[in-house]
Amino acid sequence: MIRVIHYLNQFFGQIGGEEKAGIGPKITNSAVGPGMLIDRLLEGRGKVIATVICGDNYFTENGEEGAEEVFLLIPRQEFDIFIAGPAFNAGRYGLACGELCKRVTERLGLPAVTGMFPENPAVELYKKSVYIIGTTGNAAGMSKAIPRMVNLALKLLRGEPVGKPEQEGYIPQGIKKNVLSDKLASERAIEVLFKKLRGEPFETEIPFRGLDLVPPAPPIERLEEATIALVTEGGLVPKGNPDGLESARATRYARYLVKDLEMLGSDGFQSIHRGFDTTFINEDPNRLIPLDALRRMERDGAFKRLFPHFFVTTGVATTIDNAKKIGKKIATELVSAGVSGAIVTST
Amino acid sequence: MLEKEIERAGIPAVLVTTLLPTARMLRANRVVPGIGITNPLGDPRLSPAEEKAVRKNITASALEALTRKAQGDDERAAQDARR
Repeated sequence: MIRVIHYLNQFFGQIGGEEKAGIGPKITNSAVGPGMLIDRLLEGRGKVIATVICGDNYFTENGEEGAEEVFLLIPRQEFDIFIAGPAFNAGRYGLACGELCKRVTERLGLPAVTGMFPENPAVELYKKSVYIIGTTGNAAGMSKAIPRMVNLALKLLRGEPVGKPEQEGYIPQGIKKNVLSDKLASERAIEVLFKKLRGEPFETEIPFRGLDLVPPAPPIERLEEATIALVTEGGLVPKGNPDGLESARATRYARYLVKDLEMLGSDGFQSIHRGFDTTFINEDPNRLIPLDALRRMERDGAFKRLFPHFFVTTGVATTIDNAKKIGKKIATELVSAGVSGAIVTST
Repeated sequence: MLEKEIERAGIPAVLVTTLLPTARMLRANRVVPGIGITNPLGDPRLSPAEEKAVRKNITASALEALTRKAQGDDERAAQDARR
């Protein structure tokens, strides 16, 4: 007999709506609401032996104590799999489901599966540590979600290998598993190429990221009134790298004053970028950050003002996520400083 | 990536790089070609005076790119489709 414990919030647990979101945890010894679908699916093989219900506010507002209090209701009885939700797009509910599944997995070592709409904020927090079946944004997708959740949980229970996200229906965890193929990479690459040429569907082995489109910002209307800022990913720092900027896999950026400089001198600056030969740049840092040229153009009135600092990070083996974070932070600084345009130089 | 985030915040940004295929693939909106990976805004093979002139040209192009309306991706896709 497969024994399932199911977690629901106050709404799906049929207690009430938002007005009941503050209720504390309770446990019933049978399936409630969507849990009955689990019972139907497992007919003859198993059933929901207990349903834990808690208000979304109670769970998320009482920190560690609240979460633990709810969690402790679960191991009170022996069971085989834990199912939470699905939470669809409900953020607080998602947090509760994710957190409980995580605790069940880590502390009880038992299979735990939940379901959420991919844009549920809880997904980013829990997708790596919890199996989250992708669902619709609202409860219309209940009848599709529950069977997928149960099937995945049963696989985990039986110790069967879990397939790829597309096969099992869970949200990609960003995990790369090395598998041995009987075909060489070159053969697989040519096969994909032929599929593409023939217009046939093909599957990429590694999904390509970074393709989001950014609508162009409006151009500078009056350059002569503009403030221009210099940004580089070439790792140019004051000699000695006083702030210890990373030379690869950057997680941050720095800002250095060039207000009173006419050009960048080789005695004052160096590049710590580990992705290319920095000899020429170290000889003449203006080859990376054209301070001399811009300063002259500033004097000639081509534009109004060169921003007093340049921004620098190191763009080698930097993850797309970190590059985006760094970019967003630099962008915020530029916006608050009223910069009109930026020249970003790269190796 | 940096220039995309700056553009996303509403400030025009131009990327000076030698890796044009990469810039195109990542859909940078404004790109000006650099001279070399080890010297994007310089050329050690030239005399210092010639190098300064080259740098001035590239820098001027970069500034100009900031003042021109950049092609959005839809326009680029239409262009690619016509080729």
